[in-house]
Order: sequence, then C-alpha cells, then structure tokens
Amino acid sequence: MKPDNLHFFIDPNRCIGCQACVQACSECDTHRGESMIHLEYVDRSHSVQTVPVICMHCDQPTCAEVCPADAIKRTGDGVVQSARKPRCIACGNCVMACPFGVPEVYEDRQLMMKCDMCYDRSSVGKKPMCATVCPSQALFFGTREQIEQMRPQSTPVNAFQFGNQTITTQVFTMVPKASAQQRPLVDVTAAMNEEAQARSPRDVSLSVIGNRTATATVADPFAEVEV
Amino acid sequence: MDAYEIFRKIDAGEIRGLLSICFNPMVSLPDNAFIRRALEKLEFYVAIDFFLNDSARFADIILPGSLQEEDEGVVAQVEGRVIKINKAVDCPGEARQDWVIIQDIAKALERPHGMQFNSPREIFEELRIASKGGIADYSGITWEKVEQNMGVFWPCPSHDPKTGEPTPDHPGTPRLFERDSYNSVAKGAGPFYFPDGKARFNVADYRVPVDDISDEYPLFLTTGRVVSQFLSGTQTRRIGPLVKQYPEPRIEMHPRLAEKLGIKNQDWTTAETRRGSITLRAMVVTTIRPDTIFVPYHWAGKKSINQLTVAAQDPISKIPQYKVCGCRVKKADGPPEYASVLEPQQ
Repeated sequence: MKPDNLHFFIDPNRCIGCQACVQACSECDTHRGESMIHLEYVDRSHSVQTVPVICMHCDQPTCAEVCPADAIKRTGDGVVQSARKPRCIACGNCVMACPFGVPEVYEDRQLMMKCDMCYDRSSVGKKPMCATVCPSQALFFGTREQIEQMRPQSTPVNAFQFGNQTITTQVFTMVPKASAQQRPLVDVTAAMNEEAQARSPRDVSLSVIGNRTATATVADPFAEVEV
Repeated sequence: MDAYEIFRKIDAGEIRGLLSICFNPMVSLPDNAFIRRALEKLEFYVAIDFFLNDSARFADIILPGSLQEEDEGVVAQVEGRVIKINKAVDCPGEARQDWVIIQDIAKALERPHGMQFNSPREIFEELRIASKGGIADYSGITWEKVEQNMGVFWPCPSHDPKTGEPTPDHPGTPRLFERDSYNSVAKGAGPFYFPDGKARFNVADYRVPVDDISDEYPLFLTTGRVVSQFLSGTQTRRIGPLVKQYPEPRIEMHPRLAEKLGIKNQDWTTAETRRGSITLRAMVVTTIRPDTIFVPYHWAGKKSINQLTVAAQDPISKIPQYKVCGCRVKKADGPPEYASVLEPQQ
C-alpha cells in the first residue's frame, strides 16, 4: 500500500524538456524499453514548452469503467494499476476514454500498458522513477507539507473539468495560489478551445483556472526581422 | 595549441602522427572537408575510443578504450563539484581503461617515468599534490570525503593558506568569490582572480562574422544541440529511445521564411554555404528568427552540418564560429541518397 501521506505533484511550469523521466521510466524492468510517461510539447510549432504526462490515478477511473474485460483495477490506496495481462483484450477502449491521454495499446503484445506510479516502489514509500530523476521538481513525490514549503506561491489541485464531467484524481497539479482560491479546478476543455482560437492572431488568453480570464497580446518578437 | 590548430599543422606538414582519445573531429569540428583531408594526410594515426566513431575510421590502429561505467575515478562538474564515478562493469573483450592504455604506450616507448600508477586512486593522489595551492585546489579532497558529502566543491585546501595549519575538515567551497575568500592569485587582497582581488568588466567589441550574410548567402546558419544527443553522438546515436526522440538532423526555420521559399514542414530542403551543402527535412517553427536557420550538429557524413560551418575562430577563446555563417536555402528535388541508408552503427 502506498503510504497515505505521500502524493504525486506535477508542476508543468517547471518542466525543462530534458527527457530524463522518459529515459528513467523506459529502463524499468516491469515494462522494459517502453516509457509509460509521455513528455509532450504543448505546441512545438510555437514554443519549446514541454509537459510531463503521467497517469493521474482518477478516483473514478474512466479507463476502468469502459473496460469490457475488467482488466484495470484500482487498489485500495487509490493507485490505478496497469492492465492485467490475462484479462486485457487490447480493444483500446481505455485509450479512447482516458481524458488525460495516458493508456497506450502495444499491438505487438496485445496489451494496454500505462503508468502505475511505479507501484513496486511507491507501495513501499519510495519515489516513482521519474520523480527520482527530475532535475527541476516538475515531478515531485512527497508530502503536502514538503510541497507547500517548496512552492509557497502555488496550490496543489486535483479536480479537472472536462465539459460536464468533473474528475478528481490522486495526482495533484500545481496552480497559482490566487487562481486556486477562487475556484480550485482546472478547466481543461476551456483551455483547449482557447488554444485553437489563439493560433493565428497571437493573442493568448488564459482561463485555465476557474472562470478567471486574462488576455494578453503577445507581439511577434521577430516582427522587425526581414526575410 | 587548440584542437583546430592541430589540423592546420597536419595540413602544413608539421604534425605527421596523431594519438587521440575520445575525439571525433569529423563530426565536432567546422568545415570538416578540411578535417577529412588532414586525417587522410596523417602518416600515422592511433585512435583510442570505446566505439568505432566516424573519425576513428581514418586511423591506422584503433585501441578499444573504456566507458565511464568500466572505470572509476572522479569528475568535476560544471559547478566545480568533484564527484566519484564507480565502476559498474568490466571492459568487454580486449578493451581496457584509457589510463592503462596510455601507460602501456609509455612503457613501450621506454619512457615510463610518471606513467606508473597502479590505480585511479593513485592518479587522484597525484592530482591532489599537483593542484595544491592552485585555484582549483584538490589537496583537501579525499575519495571518502567525496562519498560522504555527495561531492566536494573545489577549492578544498589541505592546509590553511594563511596559517599553514592542516585543515582535514575543510568542507570545500560551494560558492566561489565570497567576500573574505582566499585564492592563490589575489592572496587575500580580495575574492577575485586578480592581484588586487577585484573583478573586471571586460568590454567586448563587436566584430562582423568572418563569413557574414550577403546577397548570395542571405541567411544566417546557426548550429547547436538537441536534448537527446550528446556531443558527436558516438554513444547516443546507438541508444534506441534517444534516436527515436530526434532521429536525424532537421533544418529549423520560421514559417515566414518557409512560405517565401515554398517549403512546408517535413519537406526535403537544401542548405548551402561557401563550403558545402546538406539536404535535410525542414522543421517549421516560430521559435527561431525568420532570417536564421538552425541545424543540430551531432551527426556524421552527409548528415553533418559541419560540412557547411566556417573554421574561423574567436581570437581569445579559439572557439570556432559555429553560431554564424552566411547560407542560402531552397526546396530540394527529393530525398538525398543517404536517406535510404542506415548509419554504420545502425
């Protein structure tokens, strides 16, 4: 059982894209050669910002709810386990359903595999591999007291809005304190819509957190450069 | 003599033989057509390396050396922290630790003096003595201290420089240039490396690039690195997950430049300078100036951007002008020949 006082905190702002988490994860014996963590560019054509994506370990895991073979189990400590090999039929329902885009089906072995918070490690109080190597604490595994001391300007949030669905998770995302006090919820769908609008005029508006909206016009830094 | 000067002297006939350790100038040095000519001209070339790299292919004799995990010793990180590297595995086959190979060569040349160490630890003890009293003073660093403290920052003197008293518990210097710190240049006059102990602001006058942009070559070419590759790629181009992250070099360019040239993301694109040309896929991003293209340098042969770079060097640091030379870019007719061929290590 994962100790109750230890939690996973993601702080995407701090991610420097070094890929150390991906390499560490892919070296693990339980899923050798494959990384269960996805390090995504937010939008490489416009920014070098990256974000690490691990399983958020939902309190009501959509992946498990849509699984026709009952292959995805959530242990009593709130950790959503990877698919159980004898049961998984590699149908990919979980891949479609997961709001965070975490599970992947490996066609060569007809099996879904995903992040299980390094259950062999976290269940005995050790940090997951990615959190042991992250040089900037974008991935941090520890107590609430520790993270509050390290990040006094941020608050851990574990509620996410997808349209009409609110999802609560075992894993926390760090958000600015002022925004979180207003409404402690990350509105994912709203953020996705805004990104599409902002694409051609370089206006960036942020209403990721609650209903706070901030709009900033980002001038083209290269407007003066002739081609 | 800097690394590039070695090749100028080979070209001038002043150097006729070369022994290199972990050196891959065919990838890492600019204008590598010149490097190739120099390597071919050498009368005798011995390369010590852990893998057969792209330059070692020119060698008369290749001596298989060791990787970090096949040897032990210390490394000073960029922050001046001395850390211990422990041996995890033995060298495979006939490979041996670089320091053993060097000592054997010295013995064979009948010049063994100063090259008769029995272990990396003995070499480290020599470094402690040799660096005593210097800026990077290792004399107070022991392997035990390094392991107990997760590394020790130099300088770490064995004796107090003012009183001469032994300082076995000196903790090292995590932060340089503290107010009352001592160094061997200022001798207590102040914290910086000048006789008066004061720091200096150095004025750097702007100088136009040696191969500046022109009507013929209107764009800046700048080169650099990607996160998944290390130096000339001798190690990292062999590691599957790292290759997967960024499999081959691309030409990064701004959408405005791409539009003007009729190039779309992923199109085969040719970049040319006065020294050579390269055909790679385009990567269209807004994170670069519209008058500049970027290509990472970790690859060899026809994928090497150092076919195009200029061998001009900074007069003080001797660093080549990897970051700027004039170039022109056009859409390629199709994929280059190399596109269907695997690299030797693949």
